[in-house]
Amino acid sequence: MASRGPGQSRFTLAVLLVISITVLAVDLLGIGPVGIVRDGVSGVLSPVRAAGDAVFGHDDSAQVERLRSRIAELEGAEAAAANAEAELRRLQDQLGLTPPEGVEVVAANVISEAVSNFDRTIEIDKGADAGIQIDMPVQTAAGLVGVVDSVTFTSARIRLITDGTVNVGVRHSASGDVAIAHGQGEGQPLLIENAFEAGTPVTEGDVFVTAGLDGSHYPPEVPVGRAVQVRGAANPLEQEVFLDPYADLDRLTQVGVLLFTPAAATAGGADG
Amino acid sequence: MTTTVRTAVVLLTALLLQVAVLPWLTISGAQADLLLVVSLAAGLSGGPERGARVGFVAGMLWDLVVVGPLGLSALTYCLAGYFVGSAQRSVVGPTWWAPIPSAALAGAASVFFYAAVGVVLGHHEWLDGQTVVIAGVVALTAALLVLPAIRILAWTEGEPLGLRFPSRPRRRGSFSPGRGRRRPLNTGFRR
Repeated sequence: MASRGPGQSRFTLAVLLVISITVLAVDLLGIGPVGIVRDGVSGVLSPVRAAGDAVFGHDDSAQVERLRSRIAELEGAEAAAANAEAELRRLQDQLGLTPPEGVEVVAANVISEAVSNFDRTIEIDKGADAGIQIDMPVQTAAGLVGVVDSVTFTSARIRLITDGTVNVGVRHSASGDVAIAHGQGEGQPLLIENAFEAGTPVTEGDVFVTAGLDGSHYPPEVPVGRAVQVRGAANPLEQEVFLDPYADLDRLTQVGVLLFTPAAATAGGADG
Repeated sequence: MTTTVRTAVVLLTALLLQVAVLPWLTISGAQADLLLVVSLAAGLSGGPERGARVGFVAGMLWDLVVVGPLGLSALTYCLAGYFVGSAQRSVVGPTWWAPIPSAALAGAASVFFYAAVGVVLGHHEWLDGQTVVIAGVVALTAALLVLPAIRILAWTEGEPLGLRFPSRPRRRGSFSPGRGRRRPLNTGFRR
């Protein structure tokens, strides 16, 4: 292509920048069918991702070896786990909470890691055909993983809880206090800002579970993480808490999608 | 028309490779950015205007795949293609190795620009220590891939797709067939 003069180049650049910024603004305001177009593209590319996973994906042999050693480790901790379970039941009784009954779980395989350096998402091989809808919570046996961000018929994209745009209502098991935790990026702990009064006794190792308040996208009592750091907030009357997620978000191969919606919870009496 | 079709083929191929292959080829959790490399190569081979155009289309394609703000990749790649094309012509000059450091610098700058605008738009977690790692990996891979990418982008503009090695500097007066205007050899006799 023959290059034109600098004036023409600058004019072209200006036009393209105006278009880009306009699209950005439209997306931020939530106007237009952006989500539909993205879902369509995601659906088209889903087989490509699956093919990539089949060729370059997880090498199970190393993982099996790792899991064997992990099993041995966990067997030793079984007694401690039983004790912790009894403690959890006691706390649930104290708080008057029980896990939601009748919430169906759809097991799914992770078929793609994040495709972009700034994405905190994964893709799974189950979609609307399996009853999955946007905003449903996703977990592993260890704890909360994220929330469904977009759905096609046969796949779904999960936004991980380490994404800065994901907010999770959490409950401090020891005190019963409720707060909002949000992600800070890959490999970073979740952060609870300015929620706990300085007098609330939060210590490292404390357990945080989903609060499941009315209208929340998450059912109550799903383990989220444990406190790894507690420090004073900018406001001296409050404190900040950093949570290490229970789920290993770097090695996700299988997850479970909770077919849970706030409307269903309200109708079924699974309040808060 | 041929240029448009070939550029579309290159962009779609880069997109498919980015989606299917590169998520599994990461260095410290960061991966190469093929569509950015294509944008940079377009600017380096075709000038700032072509870099801006190809960058815009590449970025918009990528924006439809990722979950970030729609239009941010288009903005970033468009600027990257334009400025790297301008720098190549006005500052660096047409040496064969110049695209390598240009692509590395532009790749790293693009990552920081994308992250910084993301922070302004509410993605506060985008600018952290990992951003430096991402910038390093994108810069390194851009430097490695830019020369073949320039050849491919030149093919989209009608040049034959084949290996072309940089020529050695010629001595004054030496004869090189097929280069420039031919002059008759000075045999020492007047006709």
